Amino acid sequence: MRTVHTYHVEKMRRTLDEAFTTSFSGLKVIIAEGECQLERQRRIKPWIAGLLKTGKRVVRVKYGVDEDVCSGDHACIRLSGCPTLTLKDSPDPLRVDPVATVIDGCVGCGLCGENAHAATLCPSFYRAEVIRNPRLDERIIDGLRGSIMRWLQTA
Amino acid sequence: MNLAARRPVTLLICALGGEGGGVLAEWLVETARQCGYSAQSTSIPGVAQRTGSTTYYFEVFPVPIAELAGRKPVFSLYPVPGALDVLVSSELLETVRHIGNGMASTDRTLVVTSSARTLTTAEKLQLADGRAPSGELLNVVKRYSRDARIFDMAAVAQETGTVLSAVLFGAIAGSGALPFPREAFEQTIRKSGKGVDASVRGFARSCEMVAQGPAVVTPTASKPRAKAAMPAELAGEFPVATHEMLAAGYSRMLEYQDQDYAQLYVQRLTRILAAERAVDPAGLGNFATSSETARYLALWMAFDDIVRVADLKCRASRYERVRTEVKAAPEEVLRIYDYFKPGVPEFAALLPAGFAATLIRWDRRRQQAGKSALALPLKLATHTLSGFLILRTLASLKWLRRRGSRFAVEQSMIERWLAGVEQGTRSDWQLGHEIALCGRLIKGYGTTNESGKENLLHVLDHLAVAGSFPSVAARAGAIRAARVAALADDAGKALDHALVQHGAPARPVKAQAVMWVKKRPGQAA
Repeated sequence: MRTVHTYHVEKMRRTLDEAFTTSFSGLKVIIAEGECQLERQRRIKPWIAGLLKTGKRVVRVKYGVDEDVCSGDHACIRLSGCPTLTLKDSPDPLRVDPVATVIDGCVGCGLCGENAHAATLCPSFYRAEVIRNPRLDERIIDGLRGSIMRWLQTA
Repeated sequence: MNLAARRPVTLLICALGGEGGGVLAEWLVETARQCGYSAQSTSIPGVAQRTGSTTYYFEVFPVPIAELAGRKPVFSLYPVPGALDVLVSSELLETVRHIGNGMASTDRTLVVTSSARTLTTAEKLQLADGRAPSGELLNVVKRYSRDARIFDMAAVAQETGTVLSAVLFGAIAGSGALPFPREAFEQTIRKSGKGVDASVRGFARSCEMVAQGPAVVTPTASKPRAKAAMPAELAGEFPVATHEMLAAGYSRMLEYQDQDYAQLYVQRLTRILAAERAVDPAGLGNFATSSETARYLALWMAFDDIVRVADLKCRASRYERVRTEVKAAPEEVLRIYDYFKPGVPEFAALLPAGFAATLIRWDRRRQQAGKSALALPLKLATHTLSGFLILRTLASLKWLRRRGSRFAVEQSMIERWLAGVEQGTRSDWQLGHEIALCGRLIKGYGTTNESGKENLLHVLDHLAVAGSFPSVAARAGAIRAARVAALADDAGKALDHALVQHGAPARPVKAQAVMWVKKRPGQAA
């Protein structure tokens, strides 16, 4: 018996592979569990609103697609039915097909990125964590990083 | 008053999940009740995740209960085609879906719809561009309604900081179809007690927009894209019609590699232009073959490899863009994580051909033995200095790219495609144009990219060069059909079908490792 988090796609695939190929004979059970993301939103929304009201530190997660790295083949969408993973016109004048984009409704479950990773699709996905009311040390480190990077960066 | 001649006012509302259609239906009933009218509302749920809207059907009898002398109107539980007074919808395709079901009629129905689109899964998963053209959808709305009010409800909701239910409510009030004053609608919102100010703002804006009468709606034009610059002497050599693609391609080459590479790009394009000028000196085809070749040649020559992706990911503009996309305020700290999974082919791409071939063979043997392809899953914290420096270092490996095995392979494939475009153009303009457009088949990374190139070369070998066709036009038609089929499904079944239909062999079947799992005797389940 194995318990796997439903959002860990790669691990889930390995577990299924194992279940089919193991020499163990007898009943094999995989418990796939993971909280419904909409349910989770309902659960944490009031709690986060409370934290923000008192000026506490809150981390918000959102996924995104780099519009210039995406080549618009939509393989990620064929794997994920997420309503916030959709299309927009490519900003690149050379590309005619629309590129993938993550819109504001994203709740940061990360399944789109997990899929792309497990199926070795492309490096377009990123995970962004926005820290509201960051601690002093976080702000200082962020400032330092920013100034060094700006010095090294290209446009 | 002849009561028998009066019929209920009928209203059908379509809303997507999460847009507050349920609340809206309650608001309507509440407003009717407050104004002293009898009304009824029913609803039919749609299916989850953008596969259909939930519909709410509302009927109100346009005579106050007080004047009915105790008689009660009989309402219908569901909408009847052709018997709708108002069709209100928050999404354009859903509106058209219901018009397609016959709900709207040209003598009776006022259609109030959003021009905004929420793409359906079927539209999104196309390999190319499966989005339904909004212009055609708008034409259907205008043609099959008595009158139409069309505006972007999603934009109104966003600008006024409210949700779609308030905007839809305003649209219904503004249509004047219901026998209630505007104040009665507003009163209902105020009584609901949640986010009242924003809701009233959204309500008011939408109410006024609908009451104003039909506005001229044009499908939202895409943003104008930045124009690239190119040397003046280059502009002189090429016709104006090709300039947009040429400039974009030229600057892409400079950014991707160097001046020499950009020069090679121009040389290659000059060949195609010469061929096109030979068959179409007057430019009747608007130099579309050269233009499209300029587009796809640039994309192919700037093929995505580790170096390119690292370069795109560590630019200052990228950090700024992510910040805007995730709506991070200036005082908030942003962390970015990038996921990479370079496999053996990605590393081999940057190695010399001999060494790369050995490595790929070794990886292929592993896969044939039933092992999964070797790849290095990485989660890189791009916001940290170390993460940034790794990307910066990889991005500086441009010099390695030219010496890598993939560079040579891509160049030889590009040459084959270009030769096809050139020869095709010289025999017939249309044929060259179709072959040039086949550049669209190449996209994606890893295996997606590989199969795109294989498809292109297969079409080139068997339809553009070999095979017998009654005319050049038939050949061009076959190539067009194959291209469309290749973009229709990523498994390639449609492509194989199209190939066979035009007398070409289907693509060779690829060997796939089949794994047998032995069970020890006596242990059978």
